Amino acid sequence: MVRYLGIALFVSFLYAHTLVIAANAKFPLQHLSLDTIRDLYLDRRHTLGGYRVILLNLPFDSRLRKVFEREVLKKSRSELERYWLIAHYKGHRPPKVVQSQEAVARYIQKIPYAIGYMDKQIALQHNLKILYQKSY
Amino acid sequence: MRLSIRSKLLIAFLGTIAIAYLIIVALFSKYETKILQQRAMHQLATQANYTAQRLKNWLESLQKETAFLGRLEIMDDIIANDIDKRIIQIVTKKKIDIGKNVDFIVFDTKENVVATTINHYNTDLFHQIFFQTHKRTKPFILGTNIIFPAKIVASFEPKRVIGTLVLLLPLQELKSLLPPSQHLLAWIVPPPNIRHALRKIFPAPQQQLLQKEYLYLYEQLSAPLQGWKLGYALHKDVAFETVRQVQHMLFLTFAVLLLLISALIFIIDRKIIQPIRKLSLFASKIVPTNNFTTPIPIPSKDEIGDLAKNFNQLMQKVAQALQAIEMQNQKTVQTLINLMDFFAQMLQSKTKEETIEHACEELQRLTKAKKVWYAPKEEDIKSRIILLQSHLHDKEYGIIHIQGAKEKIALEERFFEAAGRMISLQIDKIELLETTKEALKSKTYFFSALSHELRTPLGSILSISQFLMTSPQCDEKAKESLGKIESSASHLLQIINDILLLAKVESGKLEPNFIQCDIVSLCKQTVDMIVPLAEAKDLTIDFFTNKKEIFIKTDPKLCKQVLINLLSNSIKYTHKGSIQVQVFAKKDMVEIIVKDSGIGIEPEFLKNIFNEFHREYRVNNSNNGSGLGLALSKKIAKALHGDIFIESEGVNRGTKAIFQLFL
Repeated sequence: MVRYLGIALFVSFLYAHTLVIAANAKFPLQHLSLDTIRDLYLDRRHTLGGYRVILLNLPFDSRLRKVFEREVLKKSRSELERYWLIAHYKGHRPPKVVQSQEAVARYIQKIPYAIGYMDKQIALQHNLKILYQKSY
Repeated sequence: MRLSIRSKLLIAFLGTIAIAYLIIVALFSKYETKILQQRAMHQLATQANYTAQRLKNWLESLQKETAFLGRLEIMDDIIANDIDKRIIQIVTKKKIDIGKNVDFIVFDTKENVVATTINHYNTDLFHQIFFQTHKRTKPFILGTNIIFPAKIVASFEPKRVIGTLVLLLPLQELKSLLPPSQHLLAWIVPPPNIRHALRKIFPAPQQQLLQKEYLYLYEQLSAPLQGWKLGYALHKDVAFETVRQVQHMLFLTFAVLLLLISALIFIIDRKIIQPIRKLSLFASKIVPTNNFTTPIPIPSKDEIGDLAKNFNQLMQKVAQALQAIEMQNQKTVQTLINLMDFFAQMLQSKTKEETIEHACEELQRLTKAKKVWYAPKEEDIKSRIILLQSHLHDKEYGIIHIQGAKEKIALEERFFEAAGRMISLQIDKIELLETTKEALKSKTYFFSALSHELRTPLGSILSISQFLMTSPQCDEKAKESLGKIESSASHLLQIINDILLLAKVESGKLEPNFIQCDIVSLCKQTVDMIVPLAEAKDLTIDFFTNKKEIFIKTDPKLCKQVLINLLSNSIKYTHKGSIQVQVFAKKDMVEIIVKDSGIGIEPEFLKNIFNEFHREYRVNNSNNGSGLGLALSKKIAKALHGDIFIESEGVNRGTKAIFQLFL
């Protein structure tokens, strides 16, 4: 754990503050537009290239999730809460939450049509395909 | 065997209670035991069923739990190899929740263990579990565990199996559901094929012990424990505790009853039996001491008191009666003594007048009459009279008059009759004695006179006939006649001599001249004397003695006469054979026996053989005898302090004469 943290700090120092949307190397698309990403994460679209996409999210109090919500989804927390409350009553489920960026990376490695956000260096470490990136 | 009333009461009461107790205990034990057994078995069945159901529910709940866990979204983390440790966290929490020694293993599809609560990795076990779960979906038994498998599918893709969740329940844990109890046994019986392997985990109680001391049954278990059984047993002590308790209670009751009865018997003994015993003891003391005067103390105012009172009254009566009897007895004895005196006075009187005088005096004394007098004929009609009447002749001696008799005895008719008879008898006796004395006197006188008067002419006849026989003028014919006269005369003289001697003996004038002499030689001389007579009849005389000399004090002359008499009798009545003379010295006498082989004596005649002039009809015609010989001999023998006995076995069987002389 300590080792992982050390590496993370080092990498974060190198690739400071670049959030990427990553997918499995076998993912059929090379890039995703911001709108597509937003549609997917806000439950407006479920498939890409004929495949049902599995979205991965980070825990509610995660730093990166806040960045992702602010920079990519461009929604405040309260907006999102209200949004998902309504979506929940409509029978929609929010993206799958995993505990860490590492777990996101591993999921993506195993599942070809899963996408998730993480720091860039983690995506690179796991040889993931970067579909979108944004510095903050 | 003699039992006291107390013992009898005790036995009766105790026996009744013991029998009743035994019957109650037996009936109660029999029926109640049956009912209790049924009830206990029913209860056991219910409990066993409940436990089996609980086991089943628990196992089902574990299965559901496993399935539920397997469906949790977190299980998707298998894909990320549980990098976030969310799976291990949840299964660890679950293990704590279940609270038993269960374990979880999460496999991915490639047999990799993603998460487990088992600390020590056992690759073989994991392999086996993974291999088995691959084929099965329902719980199954593997080794000492029950395995609950659940396939894990991805939450985002229901068709995608991403791994397997396995719950391991050690079989050991099944036992935790069995009720812990000392009297109630519960145990699990694995199926026969694995029973031996699991015997350490599931030990079964001994079958013998079960059958002997427990009520037991088996309940079949359901999947995943198919073929397994649940054993339930209840100790008989517990099952039949009620019976035992009631038995104890009955026993206690019995003991209490025993005490109560003992107390009751004690009271009965004190209040009833003791007083009766005292009464009995008192009564038993009366008999040997004859003390009828001391009254019994009255113990209480009940029936026993009445008994004592009545007893005292009875005793009083008895004492009075005894006293009266005693007085009566004394009176009677006195009367008897008076009567005896009276009779003694009567017997002592010598003459008729004296008798009557004494009788009058005594009668007055006994009857306390005013006046008692004698008269030849009845004088006073008012007086009581005693008629004196002879018993020998038809003659009255007179009448005794009694005037004013006071004593009670005088009223007894029989007394006067007896007195009259007594007086009459006494007078009879006196008269008879007088007559007899006179007769005897005249008889003796007659005999001596007769002998004397006869002997003188006979002497003349004898001497003259003997003189004539020696005369030369006498021819043979005359001599023969003279011989006959002489022999007849001498026979007559002999008879007269005998009669004289007899008369002498009877009148007591024969006085033997006792001198010391040898009886053996005396007998020999006598025999020698008589031998010629015997030889004349061709008879032999044998002599025998057990001693050479026997000296006694006797009159040899008289003795010889007796012997001659006996011997001549023998010769006279013996026609053929021999005569034996035996002399024996005995302890206090000499016995001379003359035994012949003669004509014997008829038994009838033997009784009268010593009577004077008594001759048997067979020898009556013979001239040679007077019938005086034996009578005379007996009398002489008596005068010599001896005796003679004649014995004969019958006619023609000989005779035995025994002459005894006492020393």
